[in-house]
Amino acid sequence: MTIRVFIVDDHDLFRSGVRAELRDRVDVVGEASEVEAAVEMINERIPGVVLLDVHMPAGGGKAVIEGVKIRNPDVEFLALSASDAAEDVVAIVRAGARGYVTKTISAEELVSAITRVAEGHAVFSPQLAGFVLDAFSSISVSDIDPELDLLTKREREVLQHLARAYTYREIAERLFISIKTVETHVSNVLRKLQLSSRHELTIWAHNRKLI
Amino acid sequence: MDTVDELTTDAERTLRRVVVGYRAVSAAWLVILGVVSVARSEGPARPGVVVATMVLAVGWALVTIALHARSSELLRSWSFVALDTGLAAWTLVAPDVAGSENFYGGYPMSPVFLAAYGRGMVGGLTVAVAMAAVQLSRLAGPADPTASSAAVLIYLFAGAVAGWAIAVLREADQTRRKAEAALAQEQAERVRAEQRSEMAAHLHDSVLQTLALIQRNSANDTEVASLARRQERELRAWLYGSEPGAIRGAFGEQIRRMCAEVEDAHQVAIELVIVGDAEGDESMDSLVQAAREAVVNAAKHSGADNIAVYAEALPERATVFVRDRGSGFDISTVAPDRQGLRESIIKRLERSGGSASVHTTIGAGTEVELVLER
Repeated sequence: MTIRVFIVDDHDLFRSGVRAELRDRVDVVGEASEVEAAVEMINERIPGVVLLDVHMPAGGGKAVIEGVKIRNPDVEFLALSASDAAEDVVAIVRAGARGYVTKTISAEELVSAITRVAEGHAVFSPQLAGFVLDAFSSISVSDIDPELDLLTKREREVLQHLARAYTYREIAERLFISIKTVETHVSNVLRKLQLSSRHELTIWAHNRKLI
Repeated sequence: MDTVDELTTDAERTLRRVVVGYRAVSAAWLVILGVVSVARSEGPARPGVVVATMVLAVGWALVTIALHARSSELLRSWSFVALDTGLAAWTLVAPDVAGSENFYGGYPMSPVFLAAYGRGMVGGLTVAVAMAAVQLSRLAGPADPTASSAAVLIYLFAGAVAGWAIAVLREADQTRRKAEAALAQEQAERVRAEQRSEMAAHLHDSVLQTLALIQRNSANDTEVASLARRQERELRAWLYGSEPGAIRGAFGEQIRRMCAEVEDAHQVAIELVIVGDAEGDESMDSLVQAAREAVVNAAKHSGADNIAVYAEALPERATVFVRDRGSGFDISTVAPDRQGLRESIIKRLERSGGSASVHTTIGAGTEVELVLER
């Protein structure tokens, strides 16, 4: 069964471009350019995966996630952005997106990312892996709830390989673990990112702006 | 001129304070007169009525003061004005109050001012006419030393003047506030215009120039990609504030600049991820130099059009990974005279106390790992 995909982006040109690239590979069930319309249409059509632009007027992609997740928690989100601002990307992942890829991604990679997200897995582009490592490494160890906030050595290792543009398969081979285990580590990182204390990450975001 | 929308301006507050203040003063004056009148040896026949009227006037003045602080909306309503006028009329017509020789104060004038404040000229004159009618009825009644025809004129005059003066004050205040708002808006617009022209100038110098170049070079794919990448990097730096050279010396910035230069010089795409940051120093410089050598090698020899660079600066160590999915090579066959790898990367880093290792598989690509303990 083909995956039902919905596209939210305020750039018409980019939307039609993605739509053309995805044609025949997934089922694009709709697109929207504004937060409000997007929330309404997604809640109506209930796609499997929403491709979501991080930077949108009126609350941005985060508002779309919040508006949909309340009513349809099963709809998955893949953030897509031309922006490298780490705070924005981490914020949208914390809001509930299953992954983040940059807009320069190739069509094949995009389809594979969509498939992974639809299956409930996390998709970490090298950039996102870098942002997450950066966020967690700047949180001092004494400040955090060890159960929740700290990345294990293995998780850190997996993230670092993702940041070095390794695929899951390559990581599995290098670390002598199964692909499934790699996926589990990545999902755990995602969960920790979403649950970790807002306070610490706010400090991180703030410090980044000062640097 | 009816009620004013903005009840919170300074001018409105001042007007309200004056009107309510007059009310308080005249109520106090009424009490003094009442006490004097009751205390006289040949005092009023019904002192109870005098005392009750005093209590009523003071109580009502307190209610007005409380309302003035909380709900000026009610203070302005016609029903309040009517009730207020009725109570003031009572102080005039109550037996033994105004009629007693010494008992006459400014209290009956206060509803005229209040109505002029709340309902403008119409309100002031309406109440003035009502109070004048009460005075006229007293003139027509049994002889009353305090009833006078002059009071009738005073009411009408006060109502008209108060209503007019308040209207003039409000208008002046409104004009002033409008002028201030217009000035503020004009300033905001000027700032916006300046920002827009600055933005336009920047876009013209950068993006539009690049777009023109891209149109001229549209047949040359690599040139177009390179132009687009360079423009993207430049625009991103402008938008997100890491301008080239802005943080001179910082490790992350050096790596970023190095990658940009190699991208431009060798027509490859570099995917750069930076974690943490550190101050630059001599050994960090040698790490950046070694990384540059590794990136250039990958660009020149691997055949891949994508290179991944990962730079991590932690307090205890700095690491750079340079990875391509290109052809790979056999380390043992690298000619001893190929200085790049051995001299520029490994030796250079070892002199600074770091280490370099190369992992490569023919057909699968190469990864160079550069570590500098700090």
